[in-house]
Parts: sequence; C-alpha cells; structure tokens
Amino acid sequence: MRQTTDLLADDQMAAQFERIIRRVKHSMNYRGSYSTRDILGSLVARWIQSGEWGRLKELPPSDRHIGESVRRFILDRMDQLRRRGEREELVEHQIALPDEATLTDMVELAELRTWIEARITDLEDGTVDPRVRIPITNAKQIGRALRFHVNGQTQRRIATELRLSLGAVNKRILEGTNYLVVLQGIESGLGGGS
Amino acid sequence: MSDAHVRETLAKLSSRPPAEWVAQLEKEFPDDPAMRRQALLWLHADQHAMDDERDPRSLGESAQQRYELAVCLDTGATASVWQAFDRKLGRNVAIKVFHDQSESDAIEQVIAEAQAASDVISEHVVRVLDVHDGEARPYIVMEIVGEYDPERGEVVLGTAASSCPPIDIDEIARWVMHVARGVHDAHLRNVFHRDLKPQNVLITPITRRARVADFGLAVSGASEHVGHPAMTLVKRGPAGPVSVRGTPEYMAPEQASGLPLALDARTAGDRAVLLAVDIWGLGAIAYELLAGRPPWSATEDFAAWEIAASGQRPRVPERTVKGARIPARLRRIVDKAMATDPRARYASAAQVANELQAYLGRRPTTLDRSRALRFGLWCRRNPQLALTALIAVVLTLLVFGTHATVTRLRGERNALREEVAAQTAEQLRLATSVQQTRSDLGATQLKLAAERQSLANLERSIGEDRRSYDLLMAAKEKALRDANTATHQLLDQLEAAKLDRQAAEQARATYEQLSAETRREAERAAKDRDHVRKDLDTARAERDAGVVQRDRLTEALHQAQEELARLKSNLPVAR
Repeated sequence: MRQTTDLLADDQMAAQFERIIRRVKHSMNYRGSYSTRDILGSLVARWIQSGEWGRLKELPPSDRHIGESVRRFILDRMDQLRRRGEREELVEHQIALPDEATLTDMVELAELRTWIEARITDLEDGTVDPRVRIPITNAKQIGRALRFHVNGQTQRRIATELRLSLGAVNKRILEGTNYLVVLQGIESGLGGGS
Repeated sequence: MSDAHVRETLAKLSSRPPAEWVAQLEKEFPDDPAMRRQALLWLHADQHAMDDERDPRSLGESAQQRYELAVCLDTGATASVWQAFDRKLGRNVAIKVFHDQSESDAIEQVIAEAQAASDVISEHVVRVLDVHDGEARPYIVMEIVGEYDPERGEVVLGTAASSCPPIDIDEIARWVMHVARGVHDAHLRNVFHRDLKPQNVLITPITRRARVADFGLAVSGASEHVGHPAMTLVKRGPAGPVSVRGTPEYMAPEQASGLPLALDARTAGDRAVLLAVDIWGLGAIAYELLAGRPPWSATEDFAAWEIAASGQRPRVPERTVKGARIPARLRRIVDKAMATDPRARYASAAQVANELQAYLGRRPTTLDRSRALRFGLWCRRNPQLALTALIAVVLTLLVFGTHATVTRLRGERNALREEVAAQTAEQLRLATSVQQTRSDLGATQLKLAAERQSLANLERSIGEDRRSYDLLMAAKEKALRDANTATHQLLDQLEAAKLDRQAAEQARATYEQLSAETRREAERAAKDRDHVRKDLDTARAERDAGVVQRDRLTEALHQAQEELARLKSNLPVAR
C-alpha cells in the first residue's frame, strides 16, 4: 500500500518536473521570427518592468483586470511612438487581447524569463546558487553560452564566439538549462533544503 | 559526498531507464531527500533535452528507415538542422527537425513552410523535398546547400549570410541580387516570404552564391494566416483586423503595424501588400550586410517592432563598419527598397535584381539620372572605346586648337604692328613736346632767379623790420610791466583803502552802538535821578515829619519829665 502511494507521489512529482522543465525551456527560447503572441509577450514583459504588475499584485485577483491594464499600456506606448514617427495612417489603434487566464500565463512566463536572465547574469559572474547541490563546471562559460542561446544565436555561432567545439557548446547549454530547472524546482518548493 | 560522486551517479543513471532512477537514487543518497529530488529533476531535464533535440530516433520509425541522420549541423531555439543521407534516392539532404511537437501552431507552420517552399523552383531558393508532420516531431527535408571543395576533397556546407563575412561591397550587392532573383521566382508562384533577413540567406562556400531559405512565415496562394494570433490590432477604417508577424529587427513599417489577418496572394491588392514587404526585406538584408546592424534595434524604452511601427526611416550609412565607403548609387537602391511608403518602393523583386545587376555591371540604374554619372559609367564599362574616343577627341581638339592658335597669333601680330606705328607717331609728338617744354623751362629758370633775388631782398627787409619790431615789442613789454606794477600798487592801495573804510564803518557802527547805549544809559540815569529825587523828597518829607514827631516827642518828653519831676516832688510827702 505504501509503495503505491509512493509511486503516485512520484508520478505527481514527475508531472510537476515536466511542467517546470517545459516552462523553463519555453522561457529560454528565442523566436527569431515573431508572431503576435511573442510580440504581446514582449509587451507584457515591459508592462511588468513598468511596475504596474507589482501594483496589481497587491489587489485580489478578481480586481486586477490585467487585460485592461495591458491594453492601456500598449495604447500609451503606441501613442508615444506615433508622435515620434511620420506615418499619418498609424492612428487610433484598438487592441483585442486574449482572456485574463491567458494573459496571466503570459505574465508568469515573462516573470520567469526575467528570473532566468537574472540567474544567467549570476552565472556569467561565476555565482552559483548554494541551494543547488548538483555541481556544475565552469559557471562563467555556462553563463555566456546561455546568454548567447537566449539571445537567439545558433550553437555553431556560439561555438565560434566562445572558441569551443559544437559538442562543448551543446553540453554547456544542456548543463546550464538543467541548473536553471533545478533552481526553479527549488523556488517552486521541490528539491529544496539540505 | 563529493562532487565527483554526484556527477558519476548522474552520468550512470542517465543511461538507465527512468523507471530505475528513484530506486537507484535511494541507494546512492539514502539520507538526503533534497539531493534525491534535485538529482531526479536534473535527470528528467536531461532526458527531456535528449528527447527534444538530439535523438534521431525521435523522428519516428519510418523516417529512420529512409533517412540516416549523420551530423547535427546546427541547433537553434526552434529547430535543429541535420545532415542526412536519403537511402531511397541515394543523396545527401538536410533535415530541419522542430523541437516542440506539442504546439499545433508549430506543425501547421511546418506544413505551410514546406508547401510554400516546395512550390518555388529557383536556383536561388533552397528546395524543399519532403515534409513529415505525423508521427513524433515534425521535420522538413531540404536539399543540402553545399559544394565540393577539390582542395579539401569533401563537400563543404554553406553558411548563413549573417555569419559569412563578404569580400567586398560588390559581393553584398551580388548576394542581394541573387536573393532578389529567388524572391522574384517565388513571387511568380504566388509565394511571399515575409521574413527576409541575412539569417535566412545561405551562401554557398565555393561559388559564394546566395540562396533563400526558411519560408516559415510565407504566404502562398489563398492560404490564411497560420495559427491564431494572440493579439489583434484593429484599426479604425476599412483596414479591418491585422496581426503582426515577422522578425522585429527587419520588419517593414506596415508589417510592424500589422498586416490583414487573411491574405490572398492571388488578389492584386494583397499581392501588392506582400510584395512591398518582401521588397523591404531585400533592402533590410542589404542594410545589415552594409551597415553591420539590422535596420531596427530595440532601445531601453521600446522594442524593435515598436520602433519599426512608428514610421521612422533607417538611412543607409555612408561607410560600412569597417570604414569602406558605400557607393551612393548602391545606397540609393537600398533606400528606395526601404522607402517608408510601400508605393515608393520597387514594383517587383526583379526590378531590384536588375538595378543591382546594373550597379554591378557599371550601367546606370533607374535612379542614376545625372548625365555626368551616366557618361562616367559608360566610360568605366567601355574603357577601350572610351580611350579611343578620348584620343580622337583630343586629336580633333589639337588640330582645331592649333588652327585657332595660328589664326589668333596672326591677328595678334597685325595688331602689334598697328600698335607699333601708333606708338612711333606718339613718340615723335612727345619729342616735339619735350623740346617745347625745355625752352619753357629755361625761361622759367630765369624768372625764378629774379624771383629768388627779389625774395632775398624782401627777406632782408623783413629781418630789419623784425628787429625793429622786437625792440618795439621789448619797450612795449617793459611799459606794460611798469603799468602792471603801478596797477598792482594801485590795487594794493585800493585794497588798503577798502580795509580802512571797512574799519571806519565798523568804528562808526561801534560808535553808534555806544552812543545808543550811552543814550539809553543817560535815559536810565535820568530816570534813576528822578526816582532818587522823588525818594529824596519823600525822605525830606519823612525827615520833616520826623522832626515834627521829634518835636512832639521832645515836648512829650519834656512834659513827661515835668510830670516825673512833679511826681518826684510829691513823693516824700507820700512816704
């Protein structure tokens, strides 16, 4: 009976692992050719940077109205840009955005992306989070490879930039991604403690 | 536990089936649940990466039967590109394997890309040979861009234009011309790329020719927008809902502000929109290869696509990043391709290719309107003919020039002769004039001597007059001095008299004051005297009264004394 419970727990844990891995990898992906989803994602990231999300987080979820806030934010930016530009026809944009749940998901992904970029900066500085017990080799090089990777460089280009073999670049990116997955697991309450 | 032990354990477990991981980790780290969870998470992430990117088996069984994956050429965020051998056709191919098979959008995109690219037959477009979207992950089979290198004895693969430094500016123009030809071929099949950028242009290693790849965002025929846009921009007016797709750094302004959701590449209106976007893309490729940076770059405040949508215009710099001067003719072509107004751009990709061909062939483009420039280009294009023409022109000019010079010299000689005759006559006239002037001069000199004598006499007379005048002036000055002295003395006396008069006036005033005071004193004395007199009269009257009183008192005394004597005489009788 106890073995069954453990297996169930393991399955749940595996599902959680899968979710964390997917989200981390998704946030690390650079899509060279943007779709509207990516563009909206980038706008949501800037919206978070503006501090508006920090303010809304203080409110109960039902009072947040993320969509309206993001819409106003986008309209304001377009208005600013239109005033700078010369194009007469870029007037009076209206924006149709996805529902609150999708937007909330995008906000989470944007926050995760910000978190990942901060951790990559730590690695570039040679700083490894002491809570991660799995040892990694050459944190600075891993950080640099990850930085190129999230900026959309192909592995061949990264190999040229870092003067490494293609295999070594692949290994650094894999190791760095795994480190970020484990750290995100710790942040989510999995794998923490000593 | 040591780092080496942890690494060794993970390496060992990663080759074991996932079902065994939990039990094995229990054995390796029995008293450390946190370590077990971290290791398990690490192994899952490792496995995930293997499944997603590296294991050729994940392509599916049928793919394995046909294609033998050899080398992973490159890996990007969305896909990996493998060099493979097609067993069925016995040739090398490239297979683009997409990482994420879970998103339906991605699969639709793969199919759309394959359909679009496979429809284009062009030596400047990478041909798509096959596509699989069923089992496992989607992938596209393409012809491999590579060339046999006789020096190395092997096939060398092409590289993206973004990673392939051009030899010179002309090579950039040549690459863009190739791309424009390929894009035009696609347009002829109603396929519009919409994502032209140096990363999507492959350069062959030996012949260095450019070929267009990656039709992931292409629109072909009546195909609708792939997938569902997450964000829709709605403009007021007839434009209707639009969506934004493309690579922000290379987007045409109208593409960044949104293209209609449904586009039919067969209709004239939509064709014009899509064509203008691709023309801009050709300009954007040239821009980055020349300037070393994409047309748009994100700033701290705004994303690249926002700047693209704002309607600003990137200008091709005058020099490349390496400092080479970019010819104005080429800059004009790129500027026209990247005009903000789509209607101001080239009408077709073939026009861009022709313009670049003209540029490379030193022939005038449609933008080279200056006659001097056109003539200069003709000369550079036909140097021998230009040289012959130049020599002929020089010789003609020489003959005409010599004739003109001789004629001119003859004319000048005649003119000089006439001038000499005129000058001789003038000389004679001047000689006569000089003679006359000389005789006039003699007479004048005699007159001048007489005048000088007269002047000397006059000077002597003036000298005597001056001496007399001096003596007179001396006497006059002396008299004047004496008069001055006398005047000064008189003035002194007058001053003394003035002082005396002032003293006399002061004395008289004093006298008058004293007289007045004396009068007042006399008056006061007279009054006092009168008072004294009155007092004296009073005193006299009082004295007289006193005398009378004294007499009365004396008489009274005498009476008293008599009384007393009488009384005394009466006294012994009484005792």
